[in-house]
Amino acid sequence: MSDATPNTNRFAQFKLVLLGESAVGKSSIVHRFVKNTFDDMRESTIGAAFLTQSINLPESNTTIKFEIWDTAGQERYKSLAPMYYRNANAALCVYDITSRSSFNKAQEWIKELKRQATEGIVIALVGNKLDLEENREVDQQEVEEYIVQQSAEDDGNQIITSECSAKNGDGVLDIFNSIGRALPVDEVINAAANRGRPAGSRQQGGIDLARARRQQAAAANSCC
Amino acid sequence: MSSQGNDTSSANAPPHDDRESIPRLLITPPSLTPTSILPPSISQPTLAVNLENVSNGIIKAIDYSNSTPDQLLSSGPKLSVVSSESSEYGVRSPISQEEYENLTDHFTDEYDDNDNTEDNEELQNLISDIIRYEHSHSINLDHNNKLMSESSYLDFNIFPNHDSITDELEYYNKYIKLSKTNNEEEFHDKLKHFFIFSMAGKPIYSFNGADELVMGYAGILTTIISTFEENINEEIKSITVGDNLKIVAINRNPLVLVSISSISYELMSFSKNDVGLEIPDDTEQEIKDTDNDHTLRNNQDLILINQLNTLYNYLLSILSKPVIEKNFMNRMNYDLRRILTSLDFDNIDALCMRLSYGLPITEEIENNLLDTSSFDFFISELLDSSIQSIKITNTTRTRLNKILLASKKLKVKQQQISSTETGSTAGTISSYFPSVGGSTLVEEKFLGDDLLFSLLATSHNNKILSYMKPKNHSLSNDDLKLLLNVIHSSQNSLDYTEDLWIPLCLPNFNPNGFLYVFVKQINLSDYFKSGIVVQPLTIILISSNKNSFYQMQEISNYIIYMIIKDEAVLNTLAQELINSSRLSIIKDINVPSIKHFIYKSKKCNQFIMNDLIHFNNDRSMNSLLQLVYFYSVLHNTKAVKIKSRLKSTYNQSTSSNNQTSSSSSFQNKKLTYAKWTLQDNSVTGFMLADNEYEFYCLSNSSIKSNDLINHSLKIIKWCEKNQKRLFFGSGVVF
Repeated sequence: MSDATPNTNRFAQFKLVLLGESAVGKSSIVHRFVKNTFDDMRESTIGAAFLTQSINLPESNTTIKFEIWDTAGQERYKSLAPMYYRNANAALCVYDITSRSSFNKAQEWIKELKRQATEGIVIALVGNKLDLEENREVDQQEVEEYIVQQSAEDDGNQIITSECSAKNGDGVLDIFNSIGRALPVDEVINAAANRGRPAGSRQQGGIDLARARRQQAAAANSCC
Repeated sequence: MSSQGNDTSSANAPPHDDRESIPRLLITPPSLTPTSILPPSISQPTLAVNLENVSNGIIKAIDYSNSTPDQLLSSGPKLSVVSSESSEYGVRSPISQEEYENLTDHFTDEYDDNDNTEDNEELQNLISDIIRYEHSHSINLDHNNKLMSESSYLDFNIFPNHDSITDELEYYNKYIKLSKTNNEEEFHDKLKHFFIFSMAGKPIYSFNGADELVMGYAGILTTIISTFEENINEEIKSITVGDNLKIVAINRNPLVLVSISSISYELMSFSKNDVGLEIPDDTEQEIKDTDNDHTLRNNQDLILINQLNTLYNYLLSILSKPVIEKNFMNRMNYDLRRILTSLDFDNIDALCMRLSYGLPITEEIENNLLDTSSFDFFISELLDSSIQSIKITNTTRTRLNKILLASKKLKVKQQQISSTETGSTAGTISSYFPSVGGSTLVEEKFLGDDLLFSLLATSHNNKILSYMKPKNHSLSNDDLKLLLNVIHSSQNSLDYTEDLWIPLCLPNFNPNGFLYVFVKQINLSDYFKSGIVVQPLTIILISSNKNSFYQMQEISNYIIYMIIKDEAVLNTLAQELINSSRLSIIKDINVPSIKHFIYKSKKCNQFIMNDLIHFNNDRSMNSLLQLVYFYSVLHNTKAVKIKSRLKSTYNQSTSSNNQTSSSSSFQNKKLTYAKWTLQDNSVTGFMLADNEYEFYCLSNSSIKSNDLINHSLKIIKWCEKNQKRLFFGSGVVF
């Protein structure tokens, strides 16, 4: 994560939240993405965990840093969810391809996001546990039908669909790359530039504690 | 036999004559020593002494001449104490309760107004008398002191062993190890059970056994409990089945928690006096007289009741009281498991194992337990929720405290642009980024407005280095323990990449609401080029506002920045952490004859102990279970406050260097001496306590009485001298 000037490499930061039923593998996806590790015995998350990871989009010469909220799937934490998705730029609604109920739950989250979250939030509907293909309960065709039905509502929210396996790593990075491409990178960078501060630059003196917030603010403003 | 009569008569004799001389032992009848009635291979009943009697020159060993060997064997080596006003064993002992009360009343009346003080010399006299007695009467002492590691926990009859299993692992697997199967026999073999169910009888949790198996028991137990409530209008507290089984229940409507135990050290009773509750002298007497029977019964169950409360507090911490009540209000037969997670059940399993045995939950119990946090937890629970500290210099602790305090006072300059956004702070920390900001500043605000408590702890074993709290609030030790336990469980895989944000209810602080806990780990090793490995630190910030994550994150960044910015400071901290990760009795205090000790400061209710490796040269399950047993006995053995002060009685004591000590600190001095003897091996236990501290130690039998006292006092002195290094105290206040 080196400093960069806007000309050679553009930098933008976005907030991303993972939602979904308990035990669908949200934390596993995040850990595969952030650390490229997988722990079979992973315990359920209490509350929420906050992580960061950057990706590079070579075609636009952009580095995107994700601030990730990995939330607990349990019902008892549901009331806390809005504070995580409230200012999110992207959301991963995760289900387990071997569990129909988790797919229904993911749809509920999408519904809630469309109602409550920031307008223009990038939503990804992600089926995890692709390595358990033999136990599949949710067909890809079914997902497509759902998406077609959703886009008919034409509310401006785009939904990315994808399947992955956090266990063997298949498809995980692709999800974050697709999200990165769908995010309004240019708007955010331009908005920051208009305020006279390059989006990718760092303050002198070490840790820039303010940038995260500034960029969220910028991202939020750019949409309304 | 005749011991009863003799004991009583000697006790009732005017003790004035005895006081004039060095305390001496009156063992009655001398020929009936414990050894004489026990098979030689069985551990011998231990002799313990309490100072009240000793001060009058009377030490009574209770013999088992009127118990059958079978009885003795059934509950392990019986440590009997003369003063056992509340001791189960005492009650069964030759001295009847009534006689005992007369006896203590007599003594206290007699000596209450005497101005006496104790000192080492007196202690030494006491102990040497006890030990002399042991040496002259027991057969196997001092012949060959094998290494303790050769003795097995099974030799001490800590647990009932009906089928005489000699293999430690086999016994563990059969009687101790967690089993969730549907096998009834396996279920009944287990020494310890915990159940949580709803008032309607719906099982929520069981330590052992599959659901189908537990269902029936849940039904029976709820029926018994509710019958008592409805018909007799009395809450059921405990049921004792024979000598070796106890059922204790607590009703936390809508939940009922039950524990069933046949572990010897859990069936012991202990007195309120021993757990550090201050009872004024005159009222104590009243309690004894009027309320004795009642207190007695409560105290006998206290160990198990405390365990059940710990489990209940865990449920409160993750759910909070209103959530539990609301769910059951709607439906009496609500299944609470729906809102519990697998992590919760794992945590409760681990809690049960820690509370009962001090053991971790692992698939295979390894010979060398690197993680001794379960043992730490057990000792903490045993010592009245005392918190374990880690030794660092006062300079370093003060420095860390100052950082926490400074982080609370950080100001943020809010920028105009941020005002459109709620919940997050768009700003900069002016105090250490003075150049940043610009012209759009509108207002200054404290970043840590919602921050209530800050803690810095070591990550591996969660020992607190530094603590910050508000003036008018503090966290109880129970809450702190709960907090550290939850954090420990949620950071299983050590992780520096994530910051946790955990809603948690701290029941003693407020059972009805949640606090929000920010947790971040710092890997100090990352900041060293030299490749030093330092154990990571955990920053814990407790906020009252669920939306304050980003503020807490910035505060944590500041704390890290302050810790690492000065290389000299960082080096010192790292070095101290390396040195004190495990306290060595040899390296740190140089008292090699004492194998293990615990020192608890009563004032701050914090304790320190040395690494358990020094006891047996390993950290095995075997050693651990022995320590758990020895310390339980030492702690739970009743030792009555000494009301007499001996200074005026013993002239020789005036030469001691301790005479200037304030008499108040010696007022409640008490001691327990215990010995566990096997055929070829023995362990000596010693407890010394006064108003300021409780000290427990273990040594092998070859230790001379002088050494035991001197070395104990040396450790105590060392602990007192290092008070500020050993304990974080009440923390820093904002």
